[in-house]
Amino acid sequence: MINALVAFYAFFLNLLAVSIGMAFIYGVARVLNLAHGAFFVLGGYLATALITRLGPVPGALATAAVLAALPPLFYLYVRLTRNELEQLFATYALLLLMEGLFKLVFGYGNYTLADLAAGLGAASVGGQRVPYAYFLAGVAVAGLMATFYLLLYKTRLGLYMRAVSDDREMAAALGVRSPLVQHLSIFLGIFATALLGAVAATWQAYTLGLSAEVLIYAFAALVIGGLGNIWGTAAASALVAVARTAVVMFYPELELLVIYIAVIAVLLIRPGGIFTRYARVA
Amino acid sequence: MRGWLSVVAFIGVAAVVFAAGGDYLKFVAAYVMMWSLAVWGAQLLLRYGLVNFGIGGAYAVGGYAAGLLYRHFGIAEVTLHILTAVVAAGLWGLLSGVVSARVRGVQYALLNLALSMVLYSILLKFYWATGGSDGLYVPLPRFFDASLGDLGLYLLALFFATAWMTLGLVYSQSAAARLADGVRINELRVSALGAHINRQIAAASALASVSAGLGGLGVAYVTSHVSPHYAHWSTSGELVVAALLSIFLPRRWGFVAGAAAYQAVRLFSLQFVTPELFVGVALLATLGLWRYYRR
Repeated sequence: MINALVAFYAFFLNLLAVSIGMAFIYGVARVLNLAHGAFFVLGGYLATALITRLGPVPGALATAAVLAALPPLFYLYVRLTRNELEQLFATYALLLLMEGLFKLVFGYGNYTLADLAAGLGAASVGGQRVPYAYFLAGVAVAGLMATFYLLLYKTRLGLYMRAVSDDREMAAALGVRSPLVQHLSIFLGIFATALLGAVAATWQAYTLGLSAEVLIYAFAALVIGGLGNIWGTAAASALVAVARTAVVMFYPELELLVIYIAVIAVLLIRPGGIFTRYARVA
Repeated sequence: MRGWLSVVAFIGVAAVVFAAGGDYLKFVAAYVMMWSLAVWGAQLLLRYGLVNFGIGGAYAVGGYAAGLLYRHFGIAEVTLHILTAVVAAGLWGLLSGVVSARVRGVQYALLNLALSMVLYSILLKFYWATGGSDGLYVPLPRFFDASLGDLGLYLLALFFATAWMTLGLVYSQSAAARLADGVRINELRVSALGAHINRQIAAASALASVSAGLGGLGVAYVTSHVSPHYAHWSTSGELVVAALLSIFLPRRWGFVAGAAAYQAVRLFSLQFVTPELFVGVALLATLGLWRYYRR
């Protein structure tokens, strides 16, 4: 049982880490970023490479510094496109470019900080060894969620973000500078995703081809939760993680299948996602 | 019929390629012509404003129609393969069209992606029937008692590509095409004018799937192999990108040219350590060029 809980927990954190940034980028800015998974993976690669080379603290700082340069670059890149089709085209090209660069720079190896994380020791929970790193990662993700909560519900910018997410034109008519808010949420989404990718390196191994896989998980959580709904996305991540963990425990052949079946079921029954207050399907 | 000259010109180009080209060029040409059918399907749905990231599902259905018929019943007859592929892919398209009738935009793309990935997992996991990740061997097809040689396969590819080019000409001058443009631009208005949009989309989805299925069948013939990767979403992504490329070109022959351009870039890129990098740069360059000339 504890075993299943730990597996659930790790997958849930992973899913949440990937999808929360996407909820911002798609929800507020309506940018369908096919390269989203690549940013997550880039965070993991960079963190592993820099931390193993420079040591934990300087490595982490260097990673954060490099990752902070990403959002402006991505923003400039996306700004060049004018409509959704061009966006799709350009971000698909970006996905390929980033995968190519990963292969060139990082090669075929497995990149993970799990060894380093294992060095922190492990707690014994119900007879099962659970690494302290898992708790730390949980704290990091929870901290980020709390930051998002404070930002979204306690600041004016958050209010604007929610307004733009609900109805961009209406918000603009009421005096919100919609484009600025959208640009800021692109910044935030990309940075958070890459940063969480770096954190996830403590339990996940990064290899080539992961970007596309991770992207699909993020999409699934996003669609089930309702586009642009942060809490919905979090709840959907939990749901998907439960379903996947249960299937892996009892009938592992269907591991791949269950996530897609969940997506199909939700889209058929509530096309707007489970946790939307009102459904508005484009 | 307007635009027939492009069909004739295309047949001429294909004949010159066959007469003058080496074995490799002929192989690539046949591959591109077969693959272009699947691009045609993706392009048809793009006309409705639907980006289908699950078109690979139908593509796989077509390929596996031949693979499974041969593996389990020893049938290598091309007419039976085509018939099975058309029926199976048509049903698949109708099903996915009806199922995804309520959703548009991202939800549409993802619902279809999920459908094709379900097919992918089934093909991957039930290896005793489908060959698993190794895929299936697809023999050179037979037409009644004669085996289709290289020439036969090339002619089949040419026949498919010209037939679909003609179909495209007929379609683009039909009422359905006007409706498609209307649906893309303003769906509410078209439905207010009395069109049954969901029925139109289901029909288009079935047609696109038949087209993609035949493309998958043809590519399976040309490469003698079909694998679950046909149904993977990245295959659909390639098809959608090729279809987007062909949007930049005239509709008549755009789908073949888009398919040829994409495959040329892909095949050329394989010589590098990181093919992805080259393909990515090429796609960006295309976008840039298009923007520059259509400002």
